[in-house]
Amino acid sequence: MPYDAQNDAMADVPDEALLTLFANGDEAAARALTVRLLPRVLAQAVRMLGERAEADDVAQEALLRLWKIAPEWRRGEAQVSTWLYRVTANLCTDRLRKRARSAPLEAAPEPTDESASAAQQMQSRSRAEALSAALAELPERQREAVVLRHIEGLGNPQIAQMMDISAEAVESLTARGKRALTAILSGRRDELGFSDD
Amino acid sequence: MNWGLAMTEHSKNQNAAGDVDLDLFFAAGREAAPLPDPALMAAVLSDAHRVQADIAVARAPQAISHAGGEAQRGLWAQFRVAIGGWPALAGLASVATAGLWLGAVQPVGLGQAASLYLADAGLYFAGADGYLVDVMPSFEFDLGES
Repeated sequence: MPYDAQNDAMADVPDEALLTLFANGDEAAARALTVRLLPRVLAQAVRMLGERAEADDVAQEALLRLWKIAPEWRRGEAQVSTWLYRVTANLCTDRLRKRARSAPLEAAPEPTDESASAAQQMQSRSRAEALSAALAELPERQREAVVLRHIEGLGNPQIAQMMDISAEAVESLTARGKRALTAILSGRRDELGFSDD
Repeated sequence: MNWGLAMTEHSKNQNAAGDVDLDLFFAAGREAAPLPDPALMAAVLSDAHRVQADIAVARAPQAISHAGGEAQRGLWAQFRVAIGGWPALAGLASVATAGLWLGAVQPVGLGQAASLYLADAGLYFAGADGYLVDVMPSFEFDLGES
């Protein structure tokens, strides 16, 4: 399929080079960047927001901002992925704040009927949903640090750059986040089906 | 609410110490990463192509400014054509050079030629109350009557 072939051909092209090609009107570069970056951005947005429709909007908006900044992108100043993570995080934070203002009692998304049907789904699906709900209860900085470190698998230095804090602060945030997650998930033993031993 | 875990799976969420094993949840979170649906992919690509078109339009004035340079050179070409092309331009250059030569070289005898011309034309005659002033005495244009 030509679409895949083009993306394969650009698989080794760095993000920055693709962005330059994009700004020069290269449609294949637009597709390659979309295929490469959209899943990451969407995953980050879903994990931060816990809601797919809003995450779709955020992902589209984040990439739109990337497209618009492409002609002015200064090579070597920042990594595209780092810049995009930060933009996505800011967009998610804005959404969460609006959500908190409009519905303060619904800050943490509860499992819906859809998740009730997860009884027939895979175990990992249940764990992922439980994790998503638990992450939504964390303070936003802790959630962001935990997601970047333990879900996205990024290193502390890169996370520090993205969050504009020190690597030590990243360690502190992730440690506190993990403790909080453990407490939240442990407190839902009944929901999660833990035995009460 | 029960999240659908069978009792036999309960212990798999815990580590040896009986605490929640977060690594299992993180792994599940990575596996459950959402994939963009075709509609989202199409919307993002549509944005991309629209922005590419905007960038091309924004860069167009630069191209127009280059074209403006061509137009300025075109004005010179238009002048050359208007006066009759290169031959006329060469003639104009010759005339200009001759003028420069006449201005730079002392026109010996010009005063005498002028007086003869004026006498022939009846504009200068003895006793007339005319008076020619030589503004450049070095040219010996020194006719004068009172």
